[in-house]
Amino acid sequence: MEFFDIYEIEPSFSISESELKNKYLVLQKKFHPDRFAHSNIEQQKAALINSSLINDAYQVLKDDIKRAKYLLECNEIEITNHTNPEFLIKQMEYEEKIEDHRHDKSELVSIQKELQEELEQYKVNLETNFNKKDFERAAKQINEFIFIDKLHLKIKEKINQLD
Amino acid sequence: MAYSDKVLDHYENPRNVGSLDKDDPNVGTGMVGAPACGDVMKLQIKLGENGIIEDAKFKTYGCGSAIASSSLVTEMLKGKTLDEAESIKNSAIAEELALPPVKIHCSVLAEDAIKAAIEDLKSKK
Repeated sequence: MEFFDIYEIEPSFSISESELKNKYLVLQKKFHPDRFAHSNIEQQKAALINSSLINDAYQVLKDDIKRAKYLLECNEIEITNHTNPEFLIKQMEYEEKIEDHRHDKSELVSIQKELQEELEQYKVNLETNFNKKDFERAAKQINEFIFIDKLHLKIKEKINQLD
Repeated sequence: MAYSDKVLDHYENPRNVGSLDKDDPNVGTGMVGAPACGDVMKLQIKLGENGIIEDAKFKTYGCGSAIASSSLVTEMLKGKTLDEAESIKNSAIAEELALPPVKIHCSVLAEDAIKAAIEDLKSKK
């Protein structure tokens, strides 16, 4: 849980984005390599390592999917290929719907809202399961979350192209 | 990252895109998804009277390598017995398409799709 330790945040799926960002700015300032320009070479090296670790941790912690995957990784849970046909058929139907309505902005926006709502629901469930330490179930949910998130990004791009 | 000529060929001219009747007792349907990238793959095989796969179709939403892997697999499957089909390894797919290491998971997805389709077919017998 090194990344959470760096930010002195309790390891969990739900974190405060603003708290994370504030801590990031503070830490980045404290360890910025420029501040060590006049230090000896060892201290410069240490600052550089710290600075990149602070960055890596931030990139993982601020992203819902990366943060969830990191939590699972720390608990030695692997995310495997998805094989629930019902879920996958639904994803394909979404893909087809997006393709069929690629010129119809209002329809795309309504699909986007639907996906957005699904994602919010998944986040609530992820939070519950991570809090309960039910990592198996959390892994299943983040697995599905990734597919829906990808569709959501895709549809947002299509909507932007129509603007 | 550049795609190999073989990937581009399958991507631009995918073989055997489409669907078979999933309710046909001789048709096996495999659906798999790769959470690494959100790719979704459907692979269907149709077994002939003689126990040889006579048709294979696919539909894939994903990157070029995922589409090429499933397209190649439909070609490989035709004319094979189920046992032969089951022994197709992702490494053979990756090698044939010259997939770079970051795209190996696409060939794994195709192998998993074959296994899922065979399993579905066997469950109908």
